[in-house]
Amino acid sequence: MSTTGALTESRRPPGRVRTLAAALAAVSGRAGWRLWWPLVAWLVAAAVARIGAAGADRSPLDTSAAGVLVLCGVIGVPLLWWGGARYALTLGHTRGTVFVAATLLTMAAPYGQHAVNLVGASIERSLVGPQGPLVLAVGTSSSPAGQGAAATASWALLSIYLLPLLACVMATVVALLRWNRRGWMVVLLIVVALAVIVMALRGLSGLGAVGEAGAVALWALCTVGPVVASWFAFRGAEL
Amino acid sequence: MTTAAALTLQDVGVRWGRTIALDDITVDVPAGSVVGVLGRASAGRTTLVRLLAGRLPRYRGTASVGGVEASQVGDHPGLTYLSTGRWPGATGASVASMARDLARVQPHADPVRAIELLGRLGFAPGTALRHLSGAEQSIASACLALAVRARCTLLDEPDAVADTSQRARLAEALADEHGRQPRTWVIATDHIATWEGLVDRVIVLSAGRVVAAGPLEEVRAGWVRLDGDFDALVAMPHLGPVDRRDDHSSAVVPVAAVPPGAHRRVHSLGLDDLVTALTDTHWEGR
Repeated sequence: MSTTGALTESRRPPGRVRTLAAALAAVSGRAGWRLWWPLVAWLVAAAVARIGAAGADRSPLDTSAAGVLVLCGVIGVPLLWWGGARYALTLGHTRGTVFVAATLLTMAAPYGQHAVNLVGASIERSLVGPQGPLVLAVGTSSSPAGQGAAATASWALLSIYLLPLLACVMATVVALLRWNRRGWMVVLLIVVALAVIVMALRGLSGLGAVGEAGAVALWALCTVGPVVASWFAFRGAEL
Repeated sequence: MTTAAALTLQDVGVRWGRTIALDDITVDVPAGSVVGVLGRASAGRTTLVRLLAGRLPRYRGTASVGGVEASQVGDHPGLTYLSTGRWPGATGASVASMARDLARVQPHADPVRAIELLGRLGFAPGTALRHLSGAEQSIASACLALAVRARCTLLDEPDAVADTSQRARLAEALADEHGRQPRTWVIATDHIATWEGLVDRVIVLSAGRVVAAGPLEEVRAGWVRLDGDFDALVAMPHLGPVDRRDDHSSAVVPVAAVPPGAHRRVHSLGLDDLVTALTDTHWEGR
């Protein structure tokens, strides 16, 4: 039997909070770049809109920067999982910790980015006034008649549809990590399921209290369901 | 207080679709061993170390590291650590920042020691990972693994594309680290000469099966190279092909088969020779 030596200099294992913080840092990347890169795209989009607004006759209300931010938030999900989660696993974080950290960031980062946009829009409005060129606007339109509908659509996207969408994108990426190319079959199922759920949500909205309850249940199902499925896929992924 | 971890594999099998990566692997490794996992390309070395590191959740049979089932070792930081030379998602990281990241996760990791080891192998702490070649990344990754000080450290091809000097310095660093704090090491490599003075046990794989396993000297003592007549050697049990030459032929034969009085024609085997002979035989017998 070979030597069995005691390892000296061992430290106390870090607590759960410190472990989760380390996993969040690992998933976020160096200086948290996986969280803030959409803001760079957002600033560029805002700058382009502002330059365009300078030559316009009337004050535009431009939502393209906010749109770019939402889009980049969704694109950021694969980066968090494909790069961040795998890096955290390579360091030796447990799968459970990595999953919690990556899921938290998947769900929270786009909302955090949108909060930055709202703060920016507020500052912009105070600087240039409500009639000024508002390039960080959210849920507004250049025509007064369209403003209400656009606002409703934007807020519906952020408050209702974004979270299930992020959960489904997350499930898609994890399915690809777990089953490689065959993961696309799972992706297809997810897309079909998402479409059915979205249509069902629209149908239920006109049925009063029962419809509302059904809509909330469906919303919870299509948010929590992909997260639970992602965990089972992630747990079995050969990473 | 943490001790080195023993490894136990019983009838372990892994399949990739129709391909058998590992088949009926049964091996026991005492705690504190330095194990060389040897074999040709595609023999199953990487699959075996990945399995022991908990990276393959699905396999047949039972495999444990320090009493923990291999599929669960990922839930026990400090139990195993696998160095593959690849860091997916480590964008913008320097070797020093990775040492710090490891220390946040691994309970026994020593970032100061990591920097010291990296320095010995010629890496400045601020060196960005993306500026390193594949060979340098493998060596740097192995250095970091040494300083992680897991109960069982697994190195997958740490020297695959390294030059002779880097291999020698890495082996020296590992010997130094093992001397300071003995623990279990598993080194999957096809450059066995680098590790020959360090490895005390071997697992020789061919086509996913174990063709020899046990203490190095025991495995090596069972076989010798015998010079003699070609036809006589072919008639004897032998490993691999009989090496035919004009003046004399030679073959790797079991010690027990050496005829009396032939001891002057017997040569001890280098590990490289033995592994080649073992894997050649199994390869031909597929």
